Amino acid sequence: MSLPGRPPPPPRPAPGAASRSGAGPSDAALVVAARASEAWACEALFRRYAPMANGMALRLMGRDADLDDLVQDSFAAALRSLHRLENPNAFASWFGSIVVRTSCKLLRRRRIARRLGLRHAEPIDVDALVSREAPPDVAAELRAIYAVVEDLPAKVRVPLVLRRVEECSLEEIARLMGASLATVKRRVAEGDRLVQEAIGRRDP
Amino acid sequence: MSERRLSRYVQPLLPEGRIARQWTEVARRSARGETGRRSLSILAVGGAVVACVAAFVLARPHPQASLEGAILKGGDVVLPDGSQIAVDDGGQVRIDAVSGDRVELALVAGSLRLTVPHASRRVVVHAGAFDVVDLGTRFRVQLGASGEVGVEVAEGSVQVERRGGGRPGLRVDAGEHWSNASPSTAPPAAPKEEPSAPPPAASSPAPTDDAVPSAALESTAGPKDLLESAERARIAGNPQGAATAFDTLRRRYRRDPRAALAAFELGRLRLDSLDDPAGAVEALNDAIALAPRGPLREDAEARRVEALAAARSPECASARDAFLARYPRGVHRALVARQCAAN
Repeated sequence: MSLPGRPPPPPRPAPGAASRSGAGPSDAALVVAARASEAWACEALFRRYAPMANGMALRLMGRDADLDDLVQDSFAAALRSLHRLENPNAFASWFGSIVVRTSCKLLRRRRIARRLGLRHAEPIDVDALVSREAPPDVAAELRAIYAVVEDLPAKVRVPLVLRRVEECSLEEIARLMGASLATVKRRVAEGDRLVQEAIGRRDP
Repeated sequence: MSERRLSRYVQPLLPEGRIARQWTEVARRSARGETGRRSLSILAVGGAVVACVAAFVLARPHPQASLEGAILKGGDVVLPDGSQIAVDDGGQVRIDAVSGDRVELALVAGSLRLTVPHASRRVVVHAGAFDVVDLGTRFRVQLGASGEVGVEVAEGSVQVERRGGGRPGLRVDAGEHWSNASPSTAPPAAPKEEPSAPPPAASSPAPTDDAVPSAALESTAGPKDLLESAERARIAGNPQGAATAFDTLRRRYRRDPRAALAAFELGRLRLDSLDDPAGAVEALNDAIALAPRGPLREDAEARRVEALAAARSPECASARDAFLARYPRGVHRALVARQCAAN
């Protein structure tokens, strides 16, 4: 075992454990300062995790127009409940779970609004969503996923995207969603089945 | 199948402006929850002065023009655009100009805090030989009796410019402190007690001229500049240069949250690369004093035991035992337990 900082300095394994340059305050330091209502620390945390939150939100929601509200809601919720974070070093995964749960809530609200006729269905524009630099097989897989997710309930859609697009482990998904491992496996399997059916319909 | 990670190909466009807008909204929502507390604080601090100034402003047909030349001694003033000037006790601020596109304040003595809404006018604080230009932010400026100027930015950023100096200004971002006081100069009066300064670094080798770019250590260099200088020096294989930059940071910006990190890194460099265990002990003690409840405390204490062992200090065994008692399941337990055998 070696003490931290011995040369040569190893790259920090946990994303967000320190600043991207490795020279800034650690997540734990920022969380402690943010809990003390230090505005600079709140802003530093936000700026550190804004790319992660925006990226995850885009992949879960499927449209760029949803990002701002979702990211703002998630971070505002994180700041409100920061005192409940037991391990300040675990901010990254804790905040990730807030983004996931906020996305679930928004998706559920929208689905209900559509059922009540208060909102029109808006198909995901896969061409706008997927980078033009994506290799053909990646683009095809993303198209297949996003072709079906809009019709799925949040409880299936979110674990499917986390598994197939974010490439999270099943255990990670269970933690992010606050669900049991068995439930996550069942929902991912259901989502996979629907994606395979969509691919079958497209390429009979 | 090609090597891939699907998420790489579904990425949002995130220009700085979008992130800044998102943060502004988050900050606005957070502030809304604290409105009551802040209002009470403002009322408590400057009620009488606010009332006087408000009456003065309201009685005039052109409130902005009527403020020019006014001297504020303590208390808070809210300008028509929402900018808030809070003059600390003992402070004096002269309002030099208030117009549709600019606000100029001169800090005559003491310190002031400014909260400037985004998309507001250009706001400049003249303090000593420097101009502090607001870039949409909340910040504090203080002027010491000897003309030393200090700037602390709580949100957003400011630009510090030397008047008539011809040099480009220095940007100070949220969470950073800047001062033109030399490290040996006592800092200007601050509202909160600062951690006591470390002793002069007598045990450290004197920095060489090329240890770190001198520009990085000049008095306008902020904590961020110093950390970047240290990182560059370290990457360039210049541990002495990195140590000098870390040392400057922890001495010059004692209240900056990165001071403890700088002290810890300095201790590590002195111990591992500069063959200066006694200097390492001093820096690690400072890291612990700067952030006694900080996340680096356990690491700093463990390295301190190692440094005491390297320095063959008689304190080593007691420090080791104290560490093991304090962190019986700590990640450094095994390594610390092996220390001090020769002491």
